[in-house]
Parts: sequence; C-alpha cells; structure tokens
Amino acid sequence: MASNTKIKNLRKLLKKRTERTKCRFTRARVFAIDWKDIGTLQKMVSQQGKMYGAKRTGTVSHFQRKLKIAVKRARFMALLPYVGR
Amino acid sequence: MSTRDYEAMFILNHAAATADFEETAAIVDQILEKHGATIVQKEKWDERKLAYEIKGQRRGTYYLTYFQADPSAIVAMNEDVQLNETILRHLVIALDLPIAEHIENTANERELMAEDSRKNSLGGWGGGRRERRGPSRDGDDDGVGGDGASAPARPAVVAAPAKTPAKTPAKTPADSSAEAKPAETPADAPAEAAAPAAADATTTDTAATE
Repeated sequence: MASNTKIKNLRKLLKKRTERTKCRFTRARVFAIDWKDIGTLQKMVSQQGKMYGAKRTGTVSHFQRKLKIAVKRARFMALLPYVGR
Repeated sequence: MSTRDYEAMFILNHAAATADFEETAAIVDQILEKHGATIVQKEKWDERKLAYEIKGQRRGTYYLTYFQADPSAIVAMNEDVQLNETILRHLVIALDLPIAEHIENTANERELMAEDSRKNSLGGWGGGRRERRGPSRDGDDDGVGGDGASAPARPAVVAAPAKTPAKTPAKTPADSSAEAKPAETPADAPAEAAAPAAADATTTDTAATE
C-alpha cells in the first residue's frame, strides 16, 4: 500500500521533471528555428548576449545546433547583440 | 538555368526609409531584378533599434524579400548590394523548401513556440500561473490517486451534483468547493452553482406538487 503510493508519487515527480527540463523546441514540436523570431532567441541568450549551454536550457543537441545558426544570423542582422549592453 | 528559392533581409537607412519607404525599397528591388531574380514576396518587416551601430546608424528599417534566382547570380548581387549606401547590411539565405511552404511553416512554428512559452512560463502571481495550473491539476487527478492536498477537495466537488437531489441544501456544496479551491477557474464555479440551484428548484417544485 505504502510502496504503491510511493511509486505513484515518484512517477508523478518524474513526469513533472521531464516536462520541466525538456527542450522547448521539442516540446513545441517545431522543425526549424526561425532566426527572425527574436522573442524565443532572447530566451536562449544571457544578458551579455552569450548563448546559454544546452545543459542549462535542456535543449536537445539537434536543436542546439540549429539554434547556434539562428543566433548567429540574428546577431549579424543586429537583432541580437554580439556583446552585452 | 536552374533557380533556387531565397530569403533575403535588408537593413535600410532609417532616415531614407522613413522619408520614402517605397523608393528605398525600390532600390533593392531593382538590384534583385537586375540579376535576374523574380521577387515572390516583399514586405517591410520592422523598424527597430539596432543591437549595435552599423555604419554610424543606431536605427534601421528591415526589408524582407523572398525571391527565386540563379545561384550563380547571387555573388554579383551581393557585391552590388554592398556598394549601395542606403543598404546598411543584408543577409541572403537559400531555402530548403519552396517559398510559400517555408513562409507557412515559419508562421505556424512561431505560433507553436509562442503557445509553448505561454503554457510553460513559470508565471508570477498573474493570470498566466492560473492558466498553467488548471490543466496540470486535472492531469494529476486522472493519472494518480492524488496526494494529501488535492484529494479531499476533489471528491466534495464531484459528489456535489449527486448529493443535491437527496435533499441537501444547494448552498453548502457550492460554498465548500469555493472555500476548498479559491484558485479554481471561475468557469467551473458558476456551472456548479447553477446546477444545484436548478436541482433544488425542481425538488421544491415536485414537493409543492406532491
């Protein structure tokens, strides 16, 4: 009885955790990252304009690579800063 | 002469663009057409402050175009664009998908991203938080038996409509549910309140007829 509820609680916790740490691009079921979408790009970048690591944001490596390209394009077009403000 | 689909963004001189946008955009169009490009779509994307100075300019007008062109023409076109002084900077990107499809996809995906961030935002004390909690709580109750906090509150609400025919006053279940779950969305509360009231009215009617 007790063990059963324990397992249930653990499963619930795990579910919550995966929901929280999952990559936002995977969660949204997106195929490409638009470099013009500044709102989402800004969330993946620090105040100084550095990209956050995949470990921190939970981004899947496939999307981290795409994100890299998107951020670089946005920087080139002065949508994001190269160096913080 | 195989053509490819391209997306190109230009940052135009803000002063020139605000004075006469059509004319400054026409400069870009002329350059593109000179190199044999057929413009499919063009739009004024935005007017924004630049993240950093470009050629001494702090603001810029963004002009977004989609066109089809021969890949070999792009190099010469880039050179021409760079020589022009009203264009501060430009970026040409070859698309994998046909233009119409690409535009549709990006629009859809942007919406998906916005929806996701809305759902999963940690929120503050505002409405965003309440939106997030509503469905998640339902999901918990469906999946798991429930933990200490939410379990006692839930049966009372579920049982409320069932009890009302059995002569319980209409007010008490509604009140108890309101006390137990102040965070509940208002959409549920009126429905619950209305249902017992209606049930009560019918019972009184039947009592009167009897």
